[in-house]
Amino acid sequence: MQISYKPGNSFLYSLNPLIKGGLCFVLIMFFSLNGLQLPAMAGSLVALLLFAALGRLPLADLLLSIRRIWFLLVIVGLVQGFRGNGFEVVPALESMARILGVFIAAGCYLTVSPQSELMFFWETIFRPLRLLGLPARELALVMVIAVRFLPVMLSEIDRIRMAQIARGARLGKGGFFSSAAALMPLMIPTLAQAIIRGEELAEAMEARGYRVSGNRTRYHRFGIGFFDIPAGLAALAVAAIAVWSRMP
Amino acid sequence: MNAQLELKNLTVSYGGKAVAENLNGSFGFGRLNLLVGRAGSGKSSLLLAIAGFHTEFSGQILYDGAVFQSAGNFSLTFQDPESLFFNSSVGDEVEYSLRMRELPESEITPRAQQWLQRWGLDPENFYQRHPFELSGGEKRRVALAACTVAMPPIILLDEPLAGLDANGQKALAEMLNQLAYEHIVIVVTHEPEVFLQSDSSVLFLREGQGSWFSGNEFLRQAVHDRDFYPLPRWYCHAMAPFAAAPSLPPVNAEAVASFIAREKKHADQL
Repeated sequence: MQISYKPGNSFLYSLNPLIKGGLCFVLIMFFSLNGLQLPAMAGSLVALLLFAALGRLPLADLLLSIRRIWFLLVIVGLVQGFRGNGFEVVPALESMARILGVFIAAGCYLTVSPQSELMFFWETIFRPLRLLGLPARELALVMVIAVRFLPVMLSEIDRIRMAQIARGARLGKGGFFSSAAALMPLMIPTLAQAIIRGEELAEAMEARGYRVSGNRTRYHRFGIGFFDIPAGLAALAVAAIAVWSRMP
Repeated sequence: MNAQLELKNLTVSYGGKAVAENLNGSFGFGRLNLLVGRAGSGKSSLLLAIAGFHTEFSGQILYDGAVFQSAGNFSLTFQDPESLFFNSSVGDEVEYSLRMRELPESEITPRAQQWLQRWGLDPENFYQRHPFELSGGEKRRVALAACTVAMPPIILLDEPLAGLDANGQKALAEMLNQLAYEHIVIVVTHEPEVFLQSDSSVLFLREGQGSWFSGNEFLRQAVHDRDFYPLPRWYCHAMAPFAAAPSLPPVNAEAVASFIAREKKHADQL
């Protein structure tokens, strides 16, 4: 199951792109940095899923997509679990819950945000960089394309992984160095595919008239709606909990 | 070779929804086994279920009467198999699969060279070349050689003709036909006409159901009913007067021309 924009009409969809992006950012920071114990982390995950269910997001698709990161979850769990003396379950589960939280928050954001909103968000975030003479719009476009291509690349990685395993590849087996070497059949084709796709996309965009220029108008205009204020307050509350949980 | 890959009451689902239900039948040696159907009909899911990568299915997949153990017993390629290249020479690319199966070092190179030759690529010219230097058709053959060099009993190919020109498609179809005498070759394709021989086996997936045909039956039905499967118009037009012939020719211009000439001669004699 791929995580990508799926049309809908719940309150999550109607949020201003800046609020949506800000809320997602706060949630990602919350799951990455909070100092909560495992039960509270698990509660936060459940709350996030309930929030997504209230927003009528396709929860089954979101949960199924977790399969794509199981390998990462296991690696992170093992690394964190073995940090102390022997293997400890709680830190392993905590770190896995953090990754899951980040993944689900980002998944929800991508599910409710069409490309135009993503572009608007990144452009606004990068706007101050114009003062330094940096190409904010182009940077925003790079971010949007990277995010949009993530599901495509994940499915590409999956295809390559299956085909290489069929050839006898033992991906990620053995010690650190040997497992890194064993990942070459996965990493090199994936990188090559990413470069090829990037080149094709650039050519396609140029063919459709895209040029690096500041004189572009905006087709979609975004205002502040009914749900934006409570959503903004919710983001502040989540940020406050994260800070509070880190206080000595 | 008498072993068969048998599907027994197999129902393949995707995201909780059954895409192909209650499939019963078998894929065998000596002929190409084609998996045909419109987009989303479950062809690729079935292929992945056979490979063991898609586990959302009920029923059984048997090989030679026992449950099929996919590990090490199949090769699998997707569209654009050349995207799997990660070595700096054709030789290393083909040898990789043999090394991973821990064949004795002395056997690896001769076997890889012999296999490359089998795919119509002279090792003298190709072995040391970088895979990305080759033409599209050559790349495809190297990729398929690299995927099949370990000679597993089952070869699974998902749209192997994509992106090749007509000559490349025809040449590849002929090679796969040859390969089918030693392996069970299952091909997912949207272009069955390039592969279809009268003795091909076709599993046609439509609206969640699977129907098995011989190549000849499939051609006959598709010629009669364009809604059944859209074969090229020129073929259907050329074959329409010969619907009663015992078997129809494969879908290529030369075979059709010689078939029509033979049928006309036969009619004149009568």
